[in-house]
Amino acid sequence: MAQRDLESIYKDFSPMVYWAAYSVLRSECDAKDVTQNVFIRGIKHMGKLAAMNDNQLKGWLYRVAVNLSLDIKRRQKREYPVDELPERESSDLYDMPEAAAVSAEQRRMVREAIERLPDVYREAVMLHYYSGLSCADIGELTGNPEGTVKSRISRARIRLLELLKEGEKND
Amino acid sequence: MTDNLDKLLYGIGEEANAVVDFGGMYESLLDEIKKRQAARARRVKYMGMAAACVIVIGAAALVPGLMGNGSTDGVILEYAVAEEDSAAAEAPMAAPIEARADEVCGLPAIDQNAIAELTEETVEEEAQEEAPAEETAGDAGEAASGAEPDACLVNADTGTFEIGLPPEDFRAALEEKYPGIIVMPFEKSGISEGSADISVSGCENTAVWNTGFGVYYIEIGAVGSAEDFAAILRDVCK
Repeated sequence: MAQRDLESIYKDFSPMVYWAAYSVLRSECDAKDVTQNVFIRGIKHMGKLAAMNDNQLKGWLYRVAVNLSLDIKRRQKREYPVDELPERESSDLYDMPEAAAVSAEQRRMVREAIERLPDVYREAVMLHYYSGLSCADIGELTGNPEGTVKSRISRARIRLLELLKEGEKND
Repeated sequence: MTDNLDKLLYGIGEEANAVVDFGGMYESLLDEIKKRQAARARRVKYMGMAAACVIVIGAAALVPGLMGNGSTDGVILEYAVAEEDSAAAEAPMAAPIEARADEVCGLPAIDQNAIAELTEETVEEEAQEEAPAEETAGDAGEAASGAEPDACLVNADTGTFEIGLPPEDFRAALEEKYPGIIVMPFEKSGISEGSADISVSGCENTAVWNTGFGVYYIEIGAVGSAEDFAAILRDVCK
């Protein structure tokens, strides 16, 4: 594999690092700080990182991002619920309208709903939909089987659909 | 349905990424890296200066010991006092030299914040100032022009002295202890360029003592030799 420079590593992986940090901290400012610190650490180990393949690089950056984020979270002493979402069939849910037809208000509701998801679900959703990682990649990064990641994303989706449905009813 | 939800979520993800200024974050990352590199370069420079100071101080501490025991094949100048007196004379001498070296390096007096604010030019200027300090301490009086109180330095190789007493005190003490030695003011214009700034230059049976405050001519014919005069100087400084 050709050696990579900082810019290409940053370009390819900064969204993943940012959203991994954000999913833990739920703060744009803290996530930016963590992202910067991750890459500063990366520079210190540039020789090692440049020789890594993409999966190794991704794993290293993710672990550093999560560890730094957890450090900040511990310092801030914020507590977030880590409730498990109930497993449910989606058949009883309403039909999801076309994405284009979803109103701006509904989109805002979905974003807020993602923010309120328990940590593990929010992390899976953000890494999958925001960073564009596959379930297999997320499983590798987080140390979970791919099936577990798929299950988390599925439950999170059902939860989001419920929230959308509730929102429509209220309208 | 799930396809539509997937599209919605990917769309929200794209929106979220568009809001995050990754380009700006990269710029600030590069700025931060530059700042850290500059700070590191400064640290390395100051560590180098500190190491140089340690060497200077170490050399300054060693030189009087060497001089005390020294005898050379050339012009031999040695202090003619007992060993216990030598030790007593060395202690006050080492202290001012250390103080001088610290003053030049300035490290103890400057806090880390002040160091961080120094520009590269300042660092270079200080490095240049450091060089004479090394010479001063390393040659132990060869190039020293300002005599430190209570310090007596002698360079056996070059035959130069530095007397650490106020000129009048030293002159009075010298004439009192050794009436045969004549000390008189000396016209500076009559001194060669090379010896003008040296505290005392002993050669043959005469010496020129440039105190920094005034220049004196010393007739040491009665003593016999520069070597003997060195012993006298040391005795007077004691």
